[in-house]
Amino acid sequence: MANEIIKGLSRTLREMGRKPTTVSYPEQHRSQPARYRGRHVLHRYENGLERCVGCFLCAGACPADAIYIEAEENSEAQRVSPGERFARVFDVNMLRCIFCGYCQQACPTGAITLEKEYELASLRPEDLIYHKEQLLEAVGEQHHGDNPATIGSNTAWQPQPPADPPLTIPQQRGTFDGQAASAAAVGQGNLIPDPSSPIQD
Amino acid sequence: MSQPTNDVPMVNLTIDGRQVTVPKGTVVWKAAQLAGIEIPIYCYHPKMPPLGACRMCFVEIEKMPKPPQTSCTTEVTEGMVVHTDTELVKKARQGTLEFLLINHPLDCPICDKGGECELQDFTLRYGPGASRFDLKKRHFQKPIPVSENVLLDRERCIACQRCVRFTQDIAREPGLIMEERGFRTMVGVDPNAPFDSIFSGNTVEMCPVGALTAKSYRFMTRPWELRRTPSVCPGCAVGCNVRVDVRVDRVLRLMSRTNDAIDDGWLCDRGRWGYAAVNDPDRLRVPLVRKNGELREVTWDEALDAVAQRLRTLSPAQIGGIGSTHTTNEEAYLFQKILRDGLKTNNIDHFHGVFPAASMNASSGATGAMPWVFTGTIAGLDHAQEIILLGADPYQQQPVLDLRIKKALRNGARLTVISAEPSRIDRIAHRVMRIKSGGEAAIARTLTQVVVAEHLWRGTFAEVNETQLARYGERLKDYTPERIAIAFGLEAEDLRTVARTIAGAHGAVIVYDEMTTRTTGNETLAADVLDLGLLTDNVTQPNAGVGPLFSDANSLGARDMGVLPDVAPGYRALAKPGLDYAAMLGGGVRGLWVMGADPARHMSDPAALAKLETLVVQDMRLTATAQYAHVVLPALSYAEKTGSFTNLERCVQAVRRAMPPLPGARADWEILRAVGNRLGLNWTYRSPSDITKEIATSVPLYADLTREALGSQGQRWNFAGGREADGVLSDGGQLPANGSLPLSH
Ligand code: SF4
Ligand code: SF4
Ligand code: SF4
Ligand code: SF4
Ligand code: FES
Repeated sequence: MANEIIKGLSRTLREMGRKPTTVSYPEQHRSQPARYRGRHVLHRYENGLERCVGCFLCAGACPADAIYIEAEENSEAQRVSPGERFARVFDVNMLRCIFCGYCQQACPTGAITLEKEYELASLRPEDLIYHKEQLLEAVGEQHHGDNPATIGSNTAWQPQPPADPPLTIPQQRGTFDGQAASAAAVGQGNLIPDPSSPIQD
Repeated sequence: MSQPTNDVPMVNLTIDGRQVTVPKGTVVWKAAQLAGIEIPIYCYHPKMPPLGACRMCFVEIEKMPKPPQTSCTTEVTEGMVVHTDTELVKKARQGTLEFLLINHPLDCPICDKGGECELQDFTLRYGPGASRFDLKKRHFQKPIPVSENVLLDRERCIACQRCVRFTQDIAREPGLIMEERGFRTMVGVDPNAPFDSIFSGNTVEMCPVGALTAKSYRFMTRPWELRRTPSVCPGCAVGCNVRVDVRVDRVLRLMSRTNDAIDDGWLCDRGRWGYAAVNDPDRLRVPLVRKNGELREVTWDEALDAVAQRLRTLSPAQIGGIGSTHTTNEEAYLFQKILRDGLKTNNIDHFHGVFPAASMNASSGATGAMPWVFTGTIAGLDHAQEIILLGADPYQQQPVLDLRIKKALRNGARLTVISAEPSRIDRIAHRVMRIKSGGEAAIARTLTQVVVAEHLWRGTFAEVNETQLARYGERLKDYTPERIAIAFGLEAEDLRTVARTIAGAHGAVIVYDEMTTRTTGNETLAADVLDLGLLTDNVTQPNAGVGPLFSDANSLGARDMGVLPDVAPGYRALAKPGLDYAAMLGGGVRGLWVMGADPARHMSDPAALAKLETLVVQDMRLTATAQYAHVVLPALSYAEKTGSFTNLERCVQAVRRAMPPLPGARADWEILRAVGNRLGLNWTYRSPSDITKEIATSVPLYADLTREALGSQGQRWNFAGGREADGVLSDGGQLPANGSLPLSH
């Protein structure tokens, strides 16, 4: 009997010395693991142009039909993304989303990633349809450096490319970096005719 | 259309071990397709002669020199043994695809074709996994407009020449050309001739890659987002079969759905891109009722009560109804029924051409008394020998028929254009006669006069009526070629030649535009042309046909359904005809009910509509007529409801709901049902099919119709069991029903 009591108390005393695993949310936040899949972020290039070219591939890949896009054509006066096409409307329905990450896998330009934000709650369902303005990272935030907002779980869970991958089309860099996928030209649009190319405009 | 199996010998061959029997002259690709074996193609198109340019369709044929062979240019022979899956074939296909991809930009994610692109699909199925080409690709300025509606991305072009062959050989229009040679070959615009063809959309549809794209569809969606519904083009009376592609709540494009008997696989731009009215943000969504001189938004109940109450206060003779050539048969039927049964009036009409004798002898089913029916078929045109356009301009009014005429010309037909206005087909016609507007009927009479004077008549009808022909000729004595030639500045001999060729042809087609009959001087045109056809045996002969080309998708359907003052559905004569279109609009009625029409367009003084005590309008938009209305009821478009249209050759085809209805608007048949019940008719139609069933039992012409029977390609209504398939209207023996020339007075 006394034995049991001593055993129990010693456990209690041992645990009392430990740091608790709970945090006092919402004052404190826990840091997320590398592969965490939270709310989507739409990224920009270094020069501030949006990466998304409005191709609908993420919406096509989405098993939950959570993404709705309307695309439009870039003009010289209003250039949103490189190339011809951009997404004028980009909605993600967080109520439908199952945070599978297929959308970021499908994206040919690395425009959409699932990031660390997880505070997705509201009393009104319509608040949980995130629009492009909410998803898009601010200009100036796009330096991937240490900013956790834009690193993306992409780097963490993309299988490492083979050293000498078979290319479906030639790429100047010669390696598959998980971003250009099979469409090297996407987002580059009106390439300047190459002076060495046999035909020019 | 069935294969002409009787006269074409059949050939047996083996493809990948499967036995196939096809008619002689078939190419190997087609035979494989029939056997369910896919051979990839780019330059070949089943509706065009083979070219053999792209080298994609390789197969290996035993005992043929120099394998592999191109299956699109090789005709089948007896006992041929074909392999489509040998190592050699696989290697050849991979080679072709690797070459095609050398300069291909592969911007699939932003390419409008991506997802339904044959270059993507075939590369996936038959292509090499990788390319050995690691030099720089050629680049061009991204899309350049080749026409008002079409953009060309030269980087993506694989030089299959489908587009150029279509415009040059099928549509016979200028504009697109192939430029340069060898690896520089690409599509270009003819600097001397703009690409302004009304058929330009077909090049977009048939381009196997994303080189030619439609401006209206640019970046609108991706193919996998579309819901596709088979339906019928609402653009004109040809009734081309279409697939309506909808994303969420917008029609984004119409694609062709090949029906060999009607459209032959083509569409015109007017139909293909004419869906703006459906997507129009200004469409009516709420019923309107005039209160204190202003149209105010009200609930449906209030609006429907207002209609019923207003109509009830008028006596039958004071009420009139104007129907539409755009609504379905079911709605047209219900419209005349509500007016005849519910409001007890025969004041019903729609805007249409002038046709005499609008009733038929129901007991005999004689066609002689139905001059508003085109007695031939569209497919029958393929093998017509003579085609006479008498005041008709299909290019503008029934465009896909224009392609049919061009097909007939390729098959050796001769084309005569007799019209007041120049038309685009003039330049390829064998004979063009410019006449004065309103002279078409005189020309028809002159031709008949020549037939009678020169004893050129033939066929059962002429034989039975032979004794009367002299008297008939006497009536036409003023219409000698000489007199008419002087009047119109023509050569008398030309007129004679035309009459002789019509009388001698193995199948002459004589058509006029429905609206040509409205020109002063042409009141008898319909009857005159039918007389000419009857006397020259061009009504019952295969591949012949005479009659009008209607304007709108359901022009003939509106007639069939009795939206006319003098006949009930199926052309049963009425004892007491009502007022016609002009009489109703000219002040003949005090209350007018307009369904899907805009009569204000045809009135010299639309403000006269303001004098009506009651004007009810059902329409999608606030039309000029609706501005004067007391009650406006928002209606649905063809894409949002179910029903059927009857095209100009009597083919009844199913229209299917392709998208959710615009919130707030209702289909015309639903509106009619609601008003009918308020008028005490106790209608219980749950869907348009219920109305179709009623039409089938109460309208003899539509006796066998069910929604199922319409299937995907429609069904033609019959005259007395005629031999339809041959382009023959009905048995020759049945024609002279009353033993006299029935029409010209
Ligand atoms: S994470 Fe998955 S469910 Fe969510 S939007 Fe992306 S693809 Fe759809
Ligand atoms: S896949 Fe990427 S580029 Fe394409 S629409 Fe989605 S986020 Fe934009
Ligand atoms: S044409 Fe086909 S292969 Fe070429 S970019 Fe477009 S979708 Fe891709
Ligand atoms: S534009 Fe299209 S249809 Fe025309 S040649 Fe090029 S690939 Fe063929
Ligand atoms: S399809 Fe046969 S060569 Fe092009």
